[in-house]
Amino acid sequence: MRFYLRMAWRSLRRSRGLTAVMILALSLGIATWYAQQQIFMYLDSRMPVAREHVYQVALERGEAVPDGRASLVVPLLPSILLTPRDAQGVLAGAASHRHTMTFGAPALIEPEGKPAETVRVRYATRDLFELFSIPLREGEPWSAAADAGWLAGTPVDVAVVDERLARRLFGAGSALGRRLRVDGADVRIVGVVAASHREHYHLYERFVPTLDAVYLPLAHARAAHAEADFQHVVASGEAGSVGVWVQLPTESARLAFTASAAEYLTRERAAGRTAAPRAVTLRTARQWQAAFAPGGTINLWPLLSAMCLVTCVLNLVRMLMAKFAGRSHDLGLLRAFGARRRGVMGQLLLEAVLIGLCAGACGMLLGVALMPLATQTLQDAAGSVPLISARAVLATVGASVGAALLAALYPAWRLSRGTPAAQLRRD
Amino acid sequence: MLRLRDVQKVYRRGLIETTALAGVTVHVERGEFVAVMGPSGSGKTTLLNIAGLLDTIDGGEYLLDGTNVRELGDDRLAELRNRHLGYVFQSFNLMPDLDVFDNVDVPLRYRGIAMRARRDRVEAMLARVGLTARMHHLPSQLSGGQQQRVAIARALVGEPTLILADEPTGNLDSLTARQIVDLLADINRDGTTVVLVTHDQELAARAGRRLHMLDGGLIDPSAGHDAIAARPSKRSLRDRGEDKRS
Repeated sequence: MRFYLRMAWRSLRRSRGLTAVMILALSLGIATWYAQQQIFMYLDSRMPVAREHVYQVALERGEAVPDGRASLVVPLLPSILLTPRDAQGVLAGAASHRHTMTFGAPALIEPEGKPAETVRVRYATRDLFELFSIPLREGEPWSAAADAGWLAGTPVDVAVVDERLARRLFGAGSALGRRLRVDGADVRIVGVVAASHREHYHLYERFVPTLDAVYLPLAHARAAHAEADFQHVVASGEAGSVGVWVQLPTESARLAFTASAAEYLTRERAAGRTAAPRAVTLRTARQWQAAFAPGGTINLWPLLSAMCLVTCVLNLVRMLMAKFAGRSHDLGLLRAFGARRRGVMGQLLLEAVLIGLCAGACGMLLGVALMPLATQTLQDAAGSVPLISARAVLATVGASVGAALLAALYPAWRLSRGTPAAQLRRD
Repeated sequence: MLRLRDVQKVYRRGLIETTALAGVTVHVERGEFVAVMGPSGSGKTTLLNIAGLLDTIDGGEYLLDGTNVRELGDDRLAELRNRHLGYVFQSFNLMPDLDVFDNVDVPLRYRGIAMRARRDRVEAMLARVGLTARMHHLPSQLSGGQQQRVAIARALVGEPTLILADEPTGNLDSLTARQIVDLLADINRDGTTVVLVTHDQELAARAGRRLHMLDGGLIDPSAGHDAIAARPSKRSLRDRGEDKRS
């Protein structure tokens, strides 16, 4: 093997210019592929894997079919955003399971002794923290009683803040018990979300580029805007309505929830409150991400990177044809002295493997350099996408070697096909 | 050892076809030293390539040690080339990136011999051709004569039964050429069959038998094969079609 490796290495060194161009060509494709992989791994890492059987509830146009899904699913983004009335209606069947209603909106905060500023506030029920494994650095989520208050319109004065905001407003000390004015109402801080928490912004409603700085019970939204119609307040949020998530640990629980939600929808239609038939659809976080990746921008990445990689591989095929043709004489000699046709092909493929290894390394470096550009599409994610990991290195080198082997197959087969005499004649 | 009967070889390039061998029949017995002579383009190298299993035949029959080589697959042909045949080329054909030792070692690598045994055989062979001191030189650091001796060492290291030498002295001065032919004659005296292609009458005179080729046919008065088969031609298939129509 060492002999074959040495021959391959020397062959590549003999035509350094062409070798460099081949490595560069493949590197470009690999770099794009690598950047895409990293972004997807990053997005994947943000999925709430700690909590299983968590479903997003969507109401979609279409008649319900026996398995609980809609017969005609129109996967439009607004279908995952329910009106508060619908949210309460479908969640009536999930009282015994963890569930949350949530929406994000901008709000004015007025910290004592500091200028007022607008931050993003997430209104939710307390199960949000449990369902999405949101880590609390100190304190705890608000009580169930605070959640109950939203139906009754009881004022609540508790909030959870992000660690970064807490540090900014209150310094390094504990923020628990400190007070903050949000949208004109005083709230007491009962918990601090650890700065290590990565936002699930792409799960809650839609692509929202800013961090959730304050978490408030839904009751706060109702109380703070008591004079206005709550629906209107909700509608003024970026989401336009609330996202509903529920944890259904068993298949029977899922079916029971779906049936209960379907009953609610039937009642609503019978009462004339909705004209079009609707069905409830449950999606796991992964299914949701697959169906509605943030803004649709990210969906383009695999396609673009695949096209780029294919173009690079096709170019590599042409260059390897030229490269291998230059090896014809040597290969003819090897065959004259006993090399088999497949041995010759193996020798050529080994050269491709070396090219793939070099291109994998170069591509990864290029990919790391490319990452800041790529993460611009993720906005707040920029800088937190992991640049290098063992899994990424293995996957990238594997992809690079695979692409190089694929590119080399035809040229190697074609060159090894002739007789040794024909190969020796091609000098 | 070699039995070629009515062997034909035609090269095709687009519509042009060139007959390189037009029904050549020749027998070479084990231990013979045969020189093949003839002008350029007469088919000598083609004959040697076919005899050395480097090229295929388009018609006729070729038996090597009683085996019909047309029926053999690539693996078996590679094995025959490795174990029974050795080649010496006019332009030496050494691998420029490998040193002398590695060049001579190439045939043994494909035979699956252990490194220690290979080293002994390569060193012994280099000693025989007087190049022990140049073992780790690259071909570019050797003279033409030395390169050809390396090529001969490479051809002999696998102890083949047949050496095929294509103008081995073509790129050498007359003194070095004589030394190379002396070396080939020594090898033949040890029992190895040698087929040598050359233009040089003087060198050919060292061979036990001379074959003369002309226009793809063979004239071998000593063997009684004095008929030249159909003259080779270079003509287009279209012309051929017209011939048939006429």
